[in-house]
Amino acid sequence: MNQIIVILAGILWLSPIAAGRIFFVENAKERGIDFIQVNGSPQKDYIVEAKGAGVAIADLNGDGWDDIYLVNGATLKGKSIDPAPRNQLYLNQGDGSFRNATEESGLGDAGFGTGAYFADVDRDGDLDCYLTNYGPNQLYLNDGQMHFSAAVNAGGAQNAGWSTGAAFADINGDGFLDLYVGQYAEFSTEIADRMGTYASYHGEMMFIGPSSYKPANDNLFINNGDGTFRDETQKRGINSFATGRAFTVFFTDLDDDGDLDIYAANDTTCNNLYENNGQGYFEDIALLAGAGLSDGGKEQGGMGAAVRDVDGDLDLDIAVSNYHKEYNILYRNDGMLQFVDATFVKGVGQGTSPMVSFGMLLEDFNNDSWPDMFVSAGHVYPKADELTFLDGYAQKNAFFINQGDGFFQNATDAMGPAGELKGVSRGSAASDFDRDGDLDIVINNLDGEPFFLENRSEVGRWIQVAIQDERGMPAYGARIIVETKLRKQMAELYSSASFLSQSSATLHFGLGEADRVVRIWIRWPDGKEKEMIDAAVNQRLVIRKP
Amino acid sequence: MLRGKAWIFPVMLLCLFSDGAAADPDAASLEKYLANARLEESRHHYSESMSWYEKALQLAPDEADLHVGVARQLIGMEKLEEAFESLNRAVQLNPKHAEAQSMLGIYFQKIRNDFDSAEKHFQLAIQADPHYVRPQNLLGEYYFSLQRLEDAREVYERLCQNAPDAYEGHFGLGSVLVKQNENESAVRELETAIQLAPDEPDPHRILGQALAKLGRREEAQEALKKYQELKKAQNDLTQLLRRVRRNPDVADNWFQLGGFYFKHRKERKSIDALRRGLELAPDRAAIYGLIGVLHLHLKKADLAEPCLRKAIQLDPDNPEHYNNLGVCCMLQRDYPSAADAFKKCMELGSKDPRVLNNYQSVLKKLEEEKTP
Repeated sequence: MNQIIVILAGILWLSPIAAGRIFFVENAKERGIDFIQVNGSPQKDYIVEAKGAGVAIADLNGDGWDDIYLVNGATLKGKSIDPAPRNQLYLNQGDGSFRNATEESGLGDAGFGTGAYFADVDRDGDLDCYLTNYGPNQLYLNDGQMHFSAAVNAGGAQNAGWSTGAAFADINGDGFLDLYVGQYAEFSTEIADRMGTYASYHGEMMFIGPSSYKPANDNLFINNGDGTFRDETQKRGINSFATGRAFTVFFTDLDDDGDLDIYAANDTTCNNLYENNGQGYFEDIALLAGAGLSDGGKEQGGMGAAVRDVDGDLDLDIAVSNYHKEYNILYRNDGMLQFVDATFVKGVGQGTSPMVSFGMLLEDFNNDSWPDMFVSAGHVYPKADELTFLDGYAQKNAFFINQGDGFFQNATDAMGPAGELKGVSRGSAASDFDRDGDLDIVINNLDGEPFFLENRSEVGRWIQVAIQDERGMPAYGARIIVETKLRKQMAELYSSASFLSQSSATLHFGLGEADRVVRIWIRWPDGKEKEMIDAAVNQRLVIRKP
Repeated sequence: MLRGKAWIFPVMLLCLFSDGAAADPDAASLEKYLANARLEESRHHYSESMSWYEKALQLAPDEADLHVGVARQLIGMEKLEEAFESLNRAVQLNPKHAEAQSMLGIYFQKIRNDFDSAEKHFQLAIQADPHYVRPQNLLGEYYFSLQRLEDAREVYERLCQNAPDAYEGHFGLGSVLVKQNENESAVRELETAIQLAPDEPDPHRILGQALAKLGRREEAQEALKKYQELKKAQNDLTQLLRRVRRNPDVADNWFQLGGFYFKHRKERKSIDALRRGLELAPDRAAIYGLIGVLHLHLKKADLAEPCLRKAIQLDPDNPEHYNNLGVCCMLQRDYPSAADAFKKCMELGSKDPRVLNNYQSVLKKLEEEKTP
């Protein structure tokens, strides 16, 4: 056991040995999730109304069952609806149902929300909540009893404008989580109105698209050591080369050199890849690395992103969801910070051209030990239903099964009833909510009810690992290798996911037919490593940094 | 590596029916229909263009070129399935129609994700016309996207041989060579591509990657900066072109496009765009003034003068127009008019020392001319 504190927190589950068919069922309402997302006007006069929001997963009350926090938008230009849209927290009751705990938690923020991220920013052993908004961001501090109160000026990370993705990690090694915040564009309804509000798109008047708005600078906030932040964006090299219209951002060690780099998926602008020089200072090398554009040199409409080793070569690949008539791109990591657009080699492009893709998850949903791809989609123009060459406003989400070795097969039509669902889907997040050994999915839909996709697939064996810091909080940026006799899997724990979202802090690994885990290796963000030899399958482990 | 709108093709001049047009009324009509179709197509008026092509097809239903013309308009209107039918009809009539085969390849690649069919049509297009750059480039891009680097390299090497002045071949080959880690060779090809198409951003980007792999980091950063600069200009231009396409009746859209071309020293394009705007808003003195200056840049003082005089007529109190007119007259050795213009410029309050210098130079010239 190597002196690791290992808590057997999960239940043993007798799964079928071999991975079988995929089967998802939507049952949000039946589980008590009665959220309705409101994102401005239904007709979408402004771009900010069309982009939608994410969903965050975290175990807020520490009962071992992941809870759901759904981000709401708001109305614009003095319009109001009753009741006003607010973010909503649903506590997992452990019996398959959820209970609305928004009021008691104090997390019913009424800002024009885009994303939500839980992290222990003040290092007091509980999860705080950082909200990105169109408008001032908010930081809610947890009193340890799951009562949240707004921090003044969001602890110095308030930032007006249109914030989108955010990510937490300790980049200067002081033990406190620093914060990267993506900014979309210099947008306001006044700016839009000055340009005429609408533009003609194939004869239909639609809101003015992204290219008309100047990209806004992202921010890097350094934690002062007390849960407040100072802005060191410029000092640390952020925005020095190119500014993009950021959506989803990650801290991730793309070159496996032990420090965390930054990746930002940007809309209609080159993505950013900031290489960390080991001291917490960054240089944007996306173009040099081949991870900024498509191989054709196109600045794609990057929305969501996922980072995972999809081909089993123990380095991290990047998938980015994009706009319609493009394709969801897979940047294969070839080492030495060199990426290749492997979309068509790996089958990821199949059938995605009509989709406006947002959420992007790379997780092993069928427990065959290879991460699959789930893409949530929906157009940005309500009038897409009237334009025959578009694929409609509400769209099907897409599911790609990893065939092994990182080759994907579009299996949307084979995923059961959930494969037929259409929604104007945006952020998505994954967790084994019912702790039955497979990953379920929650999707936040624009101007509608969310989807809860319960995974009822016939799945193989699995293991789940919650990597924690000394105080039992998620160790964002930690790296893990899970090894069986059949293969090794590598992953990192991120505070961000998909599209403006956050997935479970418990990492899930399908194991296929492996009957034992022969080795688990973990590297915490400060470089400390631990190894665990031999573990049973079908269990949930909590591994805390000693 | 697709650049721009892959489906929008340059207008091909169809001169098939011009001989004997005067004698044959059908041929004359056909020629007229085609001219109208091409004109509307060049203005991105797809629907109008298509109606002319359809009229032409009534006279020559078996002409593959006309079906391809219809297909182009349908593509412009995003009626892709109908375009597909027209292209099929074209290749039935003429299986060696390179453009039709090439467009079918794009259709299968981009719309149907049917890469085998796409490859087949690109190959047929190349067989039909080995010097036709587009299908070779598309086939190279197709192989490149599938990481079939040896196949892509073969296509691009052949393209470089068949059309050595085509930027696409050198850029494509350079891109493949970077992937194959033949970076010295890649740099050579990419530098050739840059010479052939200095405004294309992508060769600079790939050049940056090649230089970085060779350890020439500073040069790589310079190449990437150049890429960004060109890319921004390309994006800006795309925006402006989109605006004039969507709202061609808004004069300011044309003026902004003209201003962009002016800034990037594309004088003739600038003049064309500004004149299109003036057709809609003919009382804009500053635009006449700018066109005048552009003609001066092109050393066409005779064309500049009427523009500058029109600017003065519309805005008689602006000293800048008089200064420009003065320079224009100087260049035409019309020193008396130049002196009048500079003098008026100063009377209107210009303190620019260059105006005074010019005025004094002109006076000196006038004195010299008086000397026997």
